[in-house]
Parts: sequence; structure tokens; C-alpha cells
Amino acid sequence: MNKFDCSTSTATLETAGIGETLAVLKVHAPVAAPEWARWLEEIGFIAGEQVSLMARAIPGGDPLVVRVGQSTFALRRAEAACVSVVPVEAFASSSSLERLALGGAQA
Amino acid sequence: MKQAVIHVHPAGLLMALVGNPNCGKTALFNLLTGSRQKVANYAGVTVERKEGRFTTPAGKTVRVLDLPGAYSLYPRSPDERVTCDVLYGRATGEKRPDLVVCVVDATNLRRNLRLALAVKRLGLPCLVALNMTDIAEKRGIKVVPETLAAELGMPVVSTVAVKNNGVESLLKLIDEQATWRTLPPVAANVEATEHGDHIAVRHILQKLGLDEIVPHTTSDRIDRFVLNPVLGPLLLTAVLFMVFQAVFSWAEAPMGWIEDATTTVGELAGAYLADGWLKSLIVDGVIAGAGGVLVFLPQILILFFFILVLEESGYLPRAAFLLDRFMGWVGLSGRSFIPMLSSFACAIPGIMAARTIGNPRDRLVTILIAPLMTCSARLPVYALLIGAFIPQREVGGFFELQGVVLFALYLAGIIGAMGVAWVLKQFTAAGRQVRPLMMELPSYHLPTVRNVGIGLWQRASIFIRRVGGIILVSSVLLWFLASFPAAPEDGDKSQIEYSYAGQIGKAMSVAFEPVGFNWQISVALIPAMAAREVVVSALGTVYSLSAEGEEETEQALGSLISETWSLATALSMLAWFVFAPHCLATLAAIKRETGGWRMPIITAVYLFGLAYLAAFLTYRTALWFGLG
Repeated sequence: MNKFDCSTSTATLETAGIGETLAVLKVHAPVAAPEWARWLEEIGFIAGEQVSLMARAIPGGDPLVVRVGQSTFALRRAEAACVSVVPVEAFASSSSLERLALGGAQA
Repeated sequence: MKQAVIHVHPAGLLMALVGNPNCGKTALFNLLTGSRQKVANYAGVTVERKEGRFTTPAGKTVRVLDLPGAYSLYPRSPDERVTCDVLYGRATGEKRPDLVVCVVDATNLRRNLRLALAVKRLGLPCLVALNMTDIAEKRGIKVVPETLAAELGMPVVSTVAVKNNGVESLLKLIDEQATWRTLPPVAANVEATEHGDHIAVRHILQKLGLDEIVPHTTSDRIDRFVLNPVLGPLLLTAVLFMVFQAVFSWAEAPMGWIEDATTTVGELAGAYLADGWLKSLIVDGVIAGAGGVLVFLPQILILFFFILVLEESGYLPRAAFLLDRFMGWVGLSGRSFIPMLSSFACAIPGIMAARTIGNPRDRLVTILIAPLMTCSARLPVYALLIGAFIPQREVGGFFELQGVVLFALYLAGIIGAMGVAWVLKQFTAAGRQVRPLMMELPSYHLPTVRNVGIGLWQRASIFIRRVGGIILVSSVLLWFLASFPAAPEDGDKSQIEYSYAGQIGKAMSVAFEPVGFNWQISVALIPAMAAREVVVSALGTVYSLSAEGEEETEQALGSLISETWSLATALSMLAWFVFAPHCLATLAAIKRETGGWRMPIITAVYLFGLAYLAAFLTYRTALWFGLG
């Protein structure tokens, strides 16, 4: 297995459809680059933040253009794979207590 | 040896501007200080230190530092480290600021406010400048400064850095020292409260009613075209083509004026000075040397004009995005594109621009290959040799042979750089790793005349100071070596053959014989270490020409060498100059940037090796084709 692979059972931003509005569930870093989690959080990938995949580069679908909150970032697929996402409605329906707990899990 | 350094800080208030990248911080800095700016380096690192000063309405003079943009107080690149060090008060030779102004992009409060909260915890007096409020309002984001101030617990003023009166409220607040001096110092553990920042920011945004995603329609619409898989690369090619076209065609006239001015000044000085060594030193050494450098200023300014406009508009990160895949093949990321583009003007700003690359390996590789980009100092060398040896004729109907050769030389530099990066990818494990990109694509902005103008002015002064000094010294040195010791009265050979320069050249020509260089070329290569273009005037000196100006030197020299050198020698010399690191200023920049002698030595050795190999192959191939 690639040591930069951090795919999980949940959906990630890497596999998201273009234009879907999603909410960040949590960020997890690959073993080989643990600093990515902090970096992704610093640029706005925080639990509850709305994200959307805008475009994929051709050829190869790498890197990606991603809207996070109010800014736009170019991310590699490996980086986008670190961001677990859920549909916005699913995130909104969870109670605020749960949301705080999710936020706490990634700190 | 250790030196004790005493730092003397000027009196008066020291203010620091801190903010995320792309928050309009530098525009605010330009608006506050106008032309009252100084660009230098921070002690020990090649991160540009921008300091300016301004006077408040109450008449107080304030010094202001424009710190490099950062996303947090955890640095991930050398320039972000400087920001942290200054704020923590541990940067060498820097006073800890008396006041920090956190520049916050109103269109992106969530990310920007987190940095503001982190800075506030450092316990320094702190203000928030809510910037880009005009764009935010257009997008329907309405932020009331008073509400935000109450939530943050620090004073907030709204600024519009692209408008002339956009900083009035900020200036007024700076004068009200009682407001910000008395802020309670917050000294808490930074680690412990970081998660608290997320919650605090979310709370603030909910209070302000700004907790929702907002599309930026205009930028998105432009991006649909610019980042389009087919149209995007076409547009990029067109933009780059136009830039290079402009660098050569627009610069022609001003370069001619500078050459004429140099000749006139030289003649004037020659007329007023008595014949002798002083006249020779000033006219041949100082004036010709300085003129030879200044002549590149138009090209450098035109290239930087385009780079600044593209940077200000937000296009450069998009170009880096489009090229990311291509750069990936040779083990680099799109982030290396901007330093490489700058290197076409001059490798030094290119090497300095590499500081924005967070990955240390990528940064080093970019620095190593930057000198291979065809900088403007190679042009006079290419122009001399192409003009003397390559016939003016059409090839394939509408290409001009001289132009094709020049293009091939540019291409050779790019291919060489990519080849070196590819080889390094094969031999370093890190080259095959996935390297982070995480590059912001800021909203598009119309570049302002003020910001582009100030940027150009800074580039011009840096260029003249740094490169001008070195070339001046080397010209004087060559003049000395070629003039002493003087030829004996009964000497039957020319002056230069008796001089130090002649002796050194003859010794060196043993090594350069296999690549077809004679002793005159070997001599000229020594002063050319100061700067490539010096080889032209050095050859002139060596061939004992008494031409008045640079232009005349080139013409006369051109016909002279076309008679005495073989075509194989000329081609070999062109190949040599594609690779050879004839630029001490570049090697010095690499030393500063990498913090030691190792990298500049490696760069010099590998580039001279490549140059010798390329010259050898070219010379032998040309001989084999009977061009000797």
C-alpha cells in the first residue's frame, strides 16, 4: 500500500463529484506526512466547513481545484483524499454537541 | 570567529503587518508608506525584508515592517519562519514590534481570523485591519467592525487597500495609543488554545451571520476558461510567448539609448581627463563596465512588469497549477514555475523566489537549476557570436536562421534544467514522493498602477545595487590585470601578452584546447566570472581594441573574431555559455539562500562540468562535419 494513501471507508474530497456542496467531517494525514493534517486545517479544512470540488486537471485528474469556505485551493489528489466529507444536510442534522465532538477529534 | 554584533534600532514606534497570503497586506503597506520603503534581507536569510515609514495625522513617525504572509504561527517555508521569529521577538537583529496590525481579508474571515486570534495570544498590542471590505460587500458579506471588535476583544478598523483614502481610520487608530496600549496581555499556551480558536471563530461567524459558503461568480467564470484543460494551456502559451516577444522587441529602443548615453559619457570624460592610467581606468573600466550592465535594465524591467501584473492579477498561481503535472514528471511541483520564470530575467530573483517553496528538496532542486534558464546577461554573448558566425538567411520559408539559433539556445537551457531535475529525481528518494501542493488560487484582481510601479522600482534598485557593484569591481580588476606589468620597451608582442592576464590565459588554454578555445578566450573567461556579458568587453580588451563604446566594440570585435576563429570554436563557445555558471552574484545568492558553501560549490562544479561536456561534444561534432 502506498504510504501516502490515507483513504478511509468514508467518502473523501478526492472522489467527490464536481460542483457538489459538501461538509468536512474530519481531516486525517497519511503516515508519511503527518504534518498535512495541520496544514489542511490551517487553510480551512475544519469539521463543518463547506467544501466543493470545482475542477480536475487533465491529464490524470491531478491536481484538483477545491473551494473551501470562501477560498479556492489547488490540491493534489493525495491531499484531497485526506479530507473526509459528508453531504451538508447530513452534517447539519447532527446535533451541535456532536459537531463539537467531531471538531475535537481532529485537533 | 564569532563577532559581537550590537544592533541599534531607530527610535519610534515599530509596527508589523501580519496576515494570510493574498489578504492585500502588501497593497496596504504600499498605501501606508508610498515610496518610503527599503527592501533588504533579514539577517542570515534571503527573505526580503520590507520596511517603510509613514507619518500619522498627529505627526508621529512610524516604522512599519511588511512581514511575509503566513497561514499560522507554525512556519512551513523559510519566509513564514521569519514572520514567526519577528513576532516572537527572536529574529536576529530585529526589535520585537510595538504594535501588530493583523490584516484580515473580509471575504475570508474564517481562515484569517484564526491567525488574528493566534497573534493576539502572543501578548503584543494588536489591531485588526479588516481589508477588502469593498469586495466583501459586493459578494454580500457585510461585516460591522464594531461587532467584530466586541467579539474579538481587539480594535477593528475597516480598510480598502486599493483606494487612496482607504487607510484613514487605521491611521487615526494608530494615534490613539491609549486604545491599544492598554490591552490586557494574554499569555496562554499556544498549543492548548488552538482548537479553541476554531470554536471561537465559528462562534464569531455565527454571531455575524456569515456562516455560509458564498460563490465568487466572476473569478469562477474566468477560471472556467483559464483552467480549462484545452484552452488553459493555449492561453498560457500565448501569454508566455507575448511576454518574451515584449522583452525583446520593447527593450530594443531603450537599450539603444543606454548604449548611446554610455558612449557619450565616456567621450565626455575622455575629453576632460588627461591621458594616462586614470583616464583608462575611468573610461575603459568604470564607465564601459557600468554601461554594460545598465543596458540590461530595460529587459529586466519589462519581464518583471509582466511578472508583477500576472502576480497581482492572480494568474501566476493558475499557471503553476496548469504546469504542475509537467513539472511532476521531472520531480518538481508547479510551485517551481514562478522562480523559473523569474530566472529568464536574472537567476538571482529566481533563486530568491524559491523561498516560497515549502518542500526543502524541491526548493534546493529549483535553486540548482535556476541558473540554467537563459538569463538576459547571456544575450550580449549570444548576440556577438550569432552576429559574427551565423549567416542571415531564411530557413523553411519564414524563419530567420539567426533567430532559430537563438531559440535553440533558449530551448537548450530549458531542456538542460529539466534533464538535471529528472536525473535528481532518479537519484533522490524524496524525488519520487508525493509532495504537497496546497496552493491558494486567489480571486482575480485588477492590478493597480501603484503596486506594480513600486514593485518595479524595487526590482530596478536591487538590480543596479547588487549586480552593478560586482561588475564595476570586476571591470576594474580586469583592466588592472591586462595593464600590468607593462610590456618592456623592446617588447615585440602586444601589451596583453606580457600582463598577468596574458600569463593566466596561456596557462588556462591548455585545459580549454580540447574544446577549441584559444588563449584569448581563456583570458576573457576569468573576468566573465563576475557576469557573463563581461566576456564581450573582456574579449575587446584582450584583442587590444581601442573602441569608444560598447556597440562599436561589438561590431569591430565581431568581424575580428569571425576572421580568426573557426565556426566550430564559436559553436563550442555558445554551448559553453548555455551551461557555465559565469556569475558570482548567483553563486553568492545560492550561498546565502542555502546557508553554506556546499550548494554553491556543487552548482559551480556541476554546471562547469556540463558546460565543458557540451562544448567538447559541440566542438568535436563540428570538426567531424568539417567546420574547423
